[in-house]
Amino acid sequence: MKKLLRLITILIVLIALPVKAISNANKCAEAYGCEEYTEGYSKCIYFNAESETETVICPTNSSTNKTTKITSTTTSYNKTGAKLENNSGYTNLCVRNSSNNYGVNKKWDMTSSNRISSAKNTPCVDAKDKVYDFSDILDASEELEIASLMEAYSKKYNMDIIFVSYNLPYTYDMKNDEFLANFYDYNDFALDLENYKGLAIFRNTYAADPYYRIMTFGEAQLYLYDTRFDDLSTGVKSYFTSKNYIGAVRYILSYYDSCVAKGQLKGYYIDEMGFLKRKWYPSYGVYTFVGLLVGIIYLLVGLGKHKMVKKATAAREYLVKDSLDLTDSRDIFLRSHTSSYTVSSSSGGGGGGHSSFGGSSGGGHSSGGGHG
Amino acid sequence: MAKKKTKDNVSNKTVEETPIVEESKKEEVEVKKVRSTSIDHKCPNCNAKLNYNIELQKWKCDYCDSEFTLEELQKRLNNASTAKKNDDSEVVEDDDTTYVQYNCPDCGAEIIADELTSATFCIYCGNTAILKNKLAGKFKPDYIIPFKKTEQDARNAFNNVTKGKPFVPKSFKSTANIEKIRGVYIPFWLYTILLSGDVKISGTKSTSWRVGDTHYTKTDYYDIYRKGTMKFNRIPVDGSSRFDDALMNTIEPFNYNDLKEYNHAYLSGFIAEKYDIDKTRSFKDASDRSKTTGDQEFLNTCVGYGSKMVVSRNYFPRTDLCEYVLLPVYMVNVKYNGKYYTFAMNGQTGEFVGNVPISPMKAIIKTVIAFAIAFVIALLISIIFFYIGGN
Repeated sequence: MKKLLRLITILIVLIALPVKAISNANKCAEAYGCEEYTEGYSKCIYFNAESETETVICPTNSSTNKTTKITSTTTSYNKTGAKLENNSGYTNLCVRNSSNNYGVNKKWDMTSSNRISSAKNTPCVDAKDKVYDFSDILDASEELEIASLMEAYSKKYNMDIIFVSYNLPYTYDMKNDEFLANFYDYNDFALDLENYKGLAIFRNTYAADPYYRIMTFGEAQLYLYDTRFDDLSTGVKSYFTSKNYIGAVRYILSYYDSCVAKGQLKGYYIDEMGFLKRKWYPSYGVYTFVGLLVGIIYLLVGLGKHKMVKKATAAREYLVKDSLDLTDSRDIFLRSHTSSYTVSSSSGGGGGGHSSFGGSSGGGHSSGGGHG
Repeated sequence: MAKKKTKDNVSNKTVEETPIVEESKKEEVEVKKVRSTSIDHKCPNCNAKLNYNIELQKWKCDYCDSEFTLEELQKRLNNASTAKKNDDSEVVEDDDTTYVQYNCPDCGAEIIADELTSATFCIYCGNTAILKNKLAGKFKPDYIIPFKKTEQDARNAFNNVTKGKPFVPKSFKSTANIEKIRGVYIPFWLYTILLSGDVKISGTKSTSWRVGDTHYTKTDYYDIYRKGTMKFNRIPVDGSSRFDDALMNTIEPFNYNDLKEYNHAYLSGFIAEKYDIDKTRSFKDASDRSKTTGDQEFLNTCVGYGSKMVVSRNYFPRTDLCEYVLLPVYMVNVKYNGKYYTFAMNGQTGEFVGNVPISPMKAIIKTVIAFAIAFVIALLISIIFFYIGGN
């Protein structure tokens, strides 16, 4: 009897759990408009017919009804069943599709498939928040303090400053760069500022290899650029490794202060797409060439002036006018020769130029970071 | 005026109508002798020295300010000319004319002046140790063109020649060189040439047209023959080997309307030179110049030809008249780095020629300065345009 009861209980649990899971999945599906769910997974899956990707939305706790924080992982899901680590994050503010320019309100041209894919894989967030703690590494007071620090500097330097934490598995460092650049470029940060001037701080909480990245956008690149990033990365590392995120942000912002005090990067400018470009200067070879050319011309002109070249007076000067008396004048025709050539008309071919867009992010940026 | 026999001016031998014959049997030359009168150039009023005043074109006494034309002098001093104008007449030299000759032991130059005009240095090499002798041989030009430009004009022209020339050596501009400018009468032979000859010219005429995409060019070839005569009046050839013929050619022409019968009074204050290239040798230069012009004149008669070229020529120059004249030239020879630089100014028209020497060190220094200035200016412009403003 007892064995039978145990068996029935197990059977009930085995049946109830999936039902509950299905029930939760149904709720999940209902909440997020999923078209179908896959049995056996405590998540719902919906297909984006346009990009043919699967988006998985997983509740934090499949056995409960808690849906206070739902993580949306919008990277391409390869259907092998690989389980993504959860990112506690925010609700997507928008659904990126072609009707809303993939949620991008900046001037980037969103026609390339690379950019569309990158945008779709970028969380669509509220640009007013400034602190995006997807990895849940900050408590409420830390968030507030960091936000307050960043707001002060934002007003001081008229630029946007954001902080992002995210659990981003990666095998190459640039993936962190790409994520942060996409996050900043495909959300409405610094929308009213020229070239979207701003500073972004990223903490990747990937357990296997934590990473941090600091990135500047627009005119901010003229103050905080490659060589200065090296010093910054070295100095801020200890704050990140010790998880003193307030200290890290404070350090980064005061470092930016010192960069502004030192002055802009000379000989560079920000182009219309936000890229840091080197101004073109003639090299010293050009100056030397100009100097040599002028020197040679001066020498030749000077030498020419030293020559008083005058034509010798011809005997014609002494010819008595009309004294020429012709006694014999004969013009004898010898022969004639005719030559010809044909001009062929050429059909000119035209060539078009094209430019290809590369890269996933919209505009230019400078960055530095490190492991730890 | 005493009569004088016709004498060759160089050999001092009596000659009569000596023809000048070139190696070619077809050329004949005649020479006509012309007499001259001399005049004592002392002031009739006060017996002081009379100098020829270029600005007044008269003789002027520096003491009593009297001015005389040649005719007035002749009238006053009863030095009328009785010279005949026919070829066979004899002319007697005026033995009262005294010339001195200066010989330069350095370069061998022979400079002639009247007894009242002194030469203190050789005008060719600047040597001051020149030897004064009595003139050997005779000095009897037929005509002379008196100076019309003053020595100051020559100095101004010499000063101006160094202006605007950046590599002139500093020593070249010194006043010592300007002081060396002298007015010199250069001996010239003037040939009146009758040039007869024939030329063969090769000429072509071309026409072009187009039919569709094909361009046609038809060229007709001709042999052109021209034969005739032309006359050249007084082609000058300098009779001194010391003067570069090319230099003399460039200060031509002289205006022969100012030719005067020679009188040694014109020489006062100036120096002269005797010829050392005789008329026979000089005639070749004159005939060569006339032949070159002859080619041009015959070519000019070939009208309508696109290209034309003289392929053969036969010329027979003949001179009816050869005159020995003195023409006015201001000159200075400046020595620099072992080389003489001759500057000459036509004493009648003011035509000035000469090559200014170049100081290599000055040329290098100024070129380097020009390079440095251009380099700095290019750098400054680059800084203003690229570093301070603009992308």
